[in-house]
Amino acid sequence: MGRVKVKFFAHLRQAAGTNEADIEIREGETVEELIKTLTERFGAEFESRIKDPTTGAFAPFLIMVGREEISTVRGDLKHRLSDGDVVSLLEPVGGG
Amino acid sequence: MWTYGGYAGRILRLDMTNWKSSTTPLTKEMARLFLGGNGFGAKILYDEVKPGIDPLGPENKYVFAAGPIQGTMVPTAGRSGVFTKSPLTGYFFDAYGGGSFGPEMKYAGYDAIVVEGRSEKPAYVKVFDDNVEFKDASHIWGKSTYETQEILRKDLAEPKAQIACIGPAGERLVRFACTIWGARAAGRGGNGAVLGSKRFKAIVVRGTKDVEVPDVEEFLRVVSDQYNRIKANPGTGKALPTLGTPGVTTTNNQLGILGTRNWQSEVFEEVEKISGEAMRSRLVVRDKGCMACPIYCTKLTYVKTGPYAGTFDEGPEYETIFAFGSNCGVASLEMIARADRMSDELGVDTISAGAVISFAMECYEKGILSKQETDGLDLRFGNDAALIQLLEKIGRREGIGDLLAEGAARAAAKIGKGSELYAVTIKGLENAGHSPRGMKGYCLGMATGTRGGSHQDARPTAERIGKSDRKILEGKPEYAVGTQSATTIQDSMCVCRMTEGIYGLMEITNEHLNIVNVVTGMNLTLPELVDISDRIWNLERSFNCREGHRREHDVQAKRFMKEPIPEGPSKGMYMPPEELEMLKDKYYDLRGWDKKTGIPTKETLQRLGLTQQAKDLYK
Amino acid sequence: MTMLLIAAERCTGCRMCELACPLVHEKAFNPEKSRIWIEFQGMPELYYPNACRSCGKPPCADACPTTPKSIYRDERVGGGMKILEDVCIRCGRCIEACPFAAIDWHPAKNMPLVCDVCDGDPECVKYCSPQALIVGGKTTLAAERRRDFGRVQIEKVKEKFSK
Repeated sequence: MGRVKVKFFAHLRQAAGTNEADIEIREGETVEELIKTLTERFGAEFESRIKDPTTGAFAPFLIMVGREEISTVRGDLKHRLSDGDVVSLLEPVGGG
Repeated sequence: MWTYGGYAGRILRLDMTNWKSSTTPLTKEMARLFLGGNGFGAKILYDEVKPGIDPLGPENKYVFAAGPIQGTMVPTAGRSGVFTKSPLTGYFFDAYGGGSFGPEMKYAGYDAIVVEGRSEKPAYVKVFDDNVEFKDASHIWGKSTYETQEILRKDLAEPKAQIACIGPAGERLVRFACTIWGARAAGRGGNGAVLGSKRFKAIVVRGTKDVEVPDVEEFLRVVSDQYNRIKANPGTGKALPTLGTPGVTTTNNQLGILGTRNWQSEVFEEVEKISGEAMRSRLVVRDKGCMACPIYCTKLTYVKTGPYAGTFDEGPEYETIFAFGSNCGVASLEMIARADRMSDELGVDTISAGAVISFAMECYEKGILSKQETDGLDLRFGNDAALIQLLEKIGRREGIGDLLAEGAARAAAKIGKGSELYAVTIKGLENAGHSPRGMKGYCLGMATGTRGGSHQDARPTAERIGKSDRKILEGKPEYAVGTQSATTIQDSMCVCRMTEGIYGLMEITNEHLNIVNVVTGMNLTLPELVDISDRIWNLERSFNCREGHRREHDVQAKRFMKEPIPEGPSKGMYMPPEELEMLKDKYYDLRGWDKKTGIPTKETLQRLGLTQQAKDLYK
Repeated sequence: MTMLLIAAERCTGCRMCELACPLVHEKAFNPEKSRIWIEFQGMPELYYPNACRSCGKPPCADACPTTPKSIYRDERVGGGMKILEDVCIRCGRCIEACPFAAIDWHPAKNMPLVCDVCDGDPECVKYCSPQALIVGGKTTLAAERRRDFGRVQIEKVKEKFSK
């Protein structure tokens, strides 16, 4: 058991209704499982902002755990979280 | 329908010296070999602009060009480009803008409009379908780009006309002056100064002709499929419609790659004050889309209180927030909106304008420029009032503004005293707001790009979202080639960068191919489309090499090859010259360019059918 | 009911409707031949979308001097206006009579140009990204606008307790 701090960026803040949230994690919980917890907590609108609702695929974006950068398209979503980690969900966007 | 769908089939020429116009047919060969937009611009300029000429002299030419999709409902078809020899870089330069100008040009019956020569007195040109008239522009010379458009629309009683024009900055040959249509800018490279040198104030275009595609049913099938995917994609369907490009500001800062105080740092401690989130809640009054665009990333903003109250702006975009905000140490979105609107009205590129100001601020703080030399302006980083005053001076070439209007590289050469390190430019073009130090592939792609300090040749996106690991060197020559190839095709079609996640971030894909084929009916294959991209890229490179460009010019800004990022999540990252040189070797191999000179090899040119270029470069 | 309804405050001015409309009716892209329009004014430009309201008691038809009326509401689909091309005398009274300035003139056919809701399946709606264009009856529009209004009011309440 432990807790992580999740920081939201860009339009994910609007969907979550907050800039950051403290989330309880199980022993050995992975990034992927944390995302699942978040989508359950923040609902369909939040989920549609990180996943394509028609394909169910993750939008490509970076998740930072501390300073480690994990990409939804290439990175290790099975990365295990530890108590006290700060997890940042960055903006899923191409273009700019 | 012309031979192929999408095209108008004609090129209009405007001889400004004699106030005469003519049209030439677009050839089938030109469409097949160069596709449109970027390709047409490169082809016309290589053939018609002699090497060594002054970009601000009458021998330079300026081309407006659209691709086959303009005028259709392919998503983001509002975009079109302008092409000229840049007064900043001295090389081939392409710049693009959204809105409705490109489509209107097609409805008037032209794929491209070539502006030549120099008018004796200020002029504007009225193009209503086949009717072309040259008119005296003395009543609008000196007017802002917004006033110019309002006056011409009213004078000509044509509220639906699309008007491209220059502002006071273009008239005064500010080297980073831009072309404005609506409130969109074909921003970079100084194309507005080229029009100014021709005393070409504006062009008013109105068209009533059809743009056709070969098979309407098939077209609707392909386009509705793409449209639905754009809507479902979290980036194009949610992120950009909600916050627009400013959404990326906090993300870049979180990664430690947000240019700050003239790139002395890449972490801005006051980022939350200039974020897309803050802009949405404080300033945004309406979402806006360019023609045929479902993404509506444009945000109309209005400042209600404070010293900048009353500012009504289309934007600012991320690049402008970086340029006038973090990179000048300013944490006021309200000032950024004012500076953005002023830049549009003066007709200057916000990226370069912000960069010369941040350059001047660093010189001032380091004691290289005294308060006397800055006309009494206290140019400390973060001084928003001084920034606004300086911007006006630059746009009008007054006082120190006259020096800075030459661009950061030229100004540094004149100032000396080590200020060259603070001019963050590539090939004379001020760097855009994505971090070459923090993204290795983008860094290489910029250094080897046609335009230099632009974020539109190679792209940062795939590294920013982690599709390619931004911190490693492995695979980066391929990254640079891949992203450059994709942008070249996007710019020739011409589709907007906002769709790059749909088309493919790192290579030319079947998505590009399907759209090109369903619009034109050319039935190209993917290898043929890749060849078109390579042909255009090598043609641009040949243009530059003919001007004397060589391997040693493919470098990054000095600061990025010398100073590591000093703090934050990307601390320690930079591009030492020896690393860059190593990457360039591999890049030239992939491109089929001579490693010693950086010139495309004879074989490469011949393979792509660029036989004239082979003759010119290997005399 | 198949009316074309407009929640104007959602419009982003992208003109996709002006492209889809002539494509299905005329098989070409040309906003000059569109039956739906976005008006642009000022700098930076603001915009307002406009098209036939499928009036239940259409003033254009009332004003039409021919017998039978050469402009009439298409009751088969419950919305949109149809033109009897061989009866129409091309007088343009319908344009004068429309309280919403939502009838144009076909530049080639020399005939009134007005929304016919694509005979019940309006193409423009499918490409209206911000969903400013809606298909349905007047109650549909009322419900959509009420939802927008409610959302704004709820946001205001939220802002109060976030501070």
